[in-house]
Amino acid sequence: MRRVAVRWFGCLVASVGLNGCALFNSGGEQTAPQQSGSEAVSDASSATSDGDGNIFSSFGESVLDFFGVTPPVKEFAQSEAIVEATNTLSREEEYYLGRAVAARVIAKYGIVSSPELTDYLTKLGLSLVSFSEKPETFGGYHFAVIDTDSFNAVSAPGGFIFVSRGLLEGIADEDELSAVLAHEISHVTQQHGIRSISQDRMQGVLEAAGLLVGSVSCNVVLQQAALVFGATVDEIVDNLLEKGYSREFEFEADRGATMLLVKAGLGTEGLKGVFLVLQSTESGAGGWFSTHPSSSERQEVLGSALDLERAPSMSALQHKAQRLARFNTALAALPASRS
Amino acid sequence: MSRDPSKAMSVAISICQEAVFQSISAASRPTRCRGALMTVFLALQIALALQIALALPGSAVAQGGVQGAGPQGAEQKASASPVSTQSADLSKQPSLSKQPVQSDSNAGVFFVEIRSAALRREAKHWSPSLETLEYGTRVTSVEQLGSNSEVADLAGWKKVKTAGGKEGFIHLTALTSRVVVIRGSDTQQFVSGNEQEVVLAGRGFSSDVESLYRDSPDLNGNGEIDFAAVDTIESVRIAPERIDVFMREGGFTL
Repeated sequence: MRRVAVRWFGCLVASVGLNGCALFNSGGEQTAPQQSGSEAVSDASSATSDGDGNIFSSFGESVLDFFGVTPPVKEFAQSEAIVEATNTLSREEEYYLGRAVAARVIAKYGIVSSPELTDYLTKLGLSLVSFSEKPETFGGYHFAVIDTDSFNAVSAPGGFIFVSRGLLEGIADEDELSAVLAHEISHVTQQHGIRSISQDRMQGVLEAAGLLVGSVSCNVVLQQAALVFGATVDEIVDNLLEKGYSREFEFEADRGATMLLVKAGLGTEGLKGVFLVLQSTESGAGGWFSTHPSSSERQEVLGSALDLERAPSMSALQHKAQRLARFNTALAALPASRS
Repeated sequence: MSRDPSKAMSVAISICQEAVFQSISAASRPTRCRGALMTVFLALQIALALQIALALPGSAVAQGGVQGAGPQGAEQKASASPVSTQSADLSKQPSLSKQPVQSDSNAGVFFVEIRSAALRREAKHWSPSLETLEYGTRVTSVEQLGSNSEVADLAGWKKVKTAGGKEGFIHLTALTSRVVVIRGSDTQQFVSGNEQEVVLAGRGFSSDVESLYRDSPDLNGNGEIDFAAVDTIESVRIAPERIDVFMREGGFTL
């Protein structure tokens, strides 16, 4: 009981204390700190304990002393209580991170405006999503075509999935597109975007979230959270578009895609087809070529699963022509490249 | 007004707290007076925490749609942040009254953990929707599907009943057994239960934080963002019936 009271008390102290940093900063204006995104995490982390706010060094300190709160308990109130109260990102927070990542991806590449193509892509994507291990995300799954000639597909946390114009033009049929989408859906369901955030950054993310728990907050707290948010979005975008996910994550997504495709009845022929496309053009620069392991290595890791589960269901076999026809119809709606 | 002395005390402390906080907000420039007010405010917070912690067993009061008897000796554990609004100045939001609420998640109570979930007629993704349930909506389990081989193909779905008595199916990944705490018009729910059993809606990264990020070139790479396009993408909606047809035409497993 006492532990719970102290924990709850800790969250209050954090929020009230930070409010105090805005209200009681002696003679200072209530201005948001100006830091680059990379500095945000450490700043947010320190905001609970020290810095200009001096949360526990003025009125807060005296109040804590008055109530007989000893330094170790203060420390507990600052860290453990906050972190434990918000020990994971909520699905809502993941969604907002995903929105910002998607906004960055779109700003970089632009979106292909084609209602017919988007409609087709969304229907295919949502059909596949229903076979995934996490068919429901906070804001749902959304699909769009990014306007780049590179062979690429990316997914942002929460369910924003993009395939490139170059990819659509480089694959043969709906089954290969399904394989690409299944791979990206698996990145989403396995939260690779969030899991790719560095440990240090994640600590800052959780603490920033914790600062916003209290019923009383202030703009300074919100500014700190926005700094951490921006830095986190930067890191995810960098992982997504430049560095690529870890090999482990890529292999996980391949395995997830294999299972999903098999459950959908499509088998793994489409996935093998994509690997062949990648193999034949692996010297190409950018996109999947630079951010993913080689296709031969990916096939090797998937191993027998790829062969054993290759066969599509009878129903899927019987409807292959229909799938190809609608793929071609949708692709006909792809506007000409701007370049 | 509640007859529960514990609840009455909580409300009384909350009211005092709110009054003090308003005084602090109204005061100008750092002064000893404001420092004193802040101290009183903090003291009230502490008093409230202790009062709730000590009074918990047997004193929890269901409120705001979350009802039911909780486990014996359950602990008070979390406060809630309001559902985010467009206003970025949280300090202007009203203080929250505090009503202890016991979680009865063990009794088959679940909460919608996504922005909106379809209550479906059948345990299938593209079955017609009977009703749309918003984030934080409380539902009760009618029966567990997928718990035996006869209904294995329905695994992942739960038959639930809404507060309005409507029954239907929701996918498990849209639900949580943790209590989703969303501020109502002017109430905040305190929930008893084990640790990690509360989802605080609107806390942390929220629309408020996104707004700041969107409006701060220093944070967003000098405007290298396109939230309007994201909104457009999110506005694309496909009727369940059309997905069903699409899957049939493509020979997908149904």
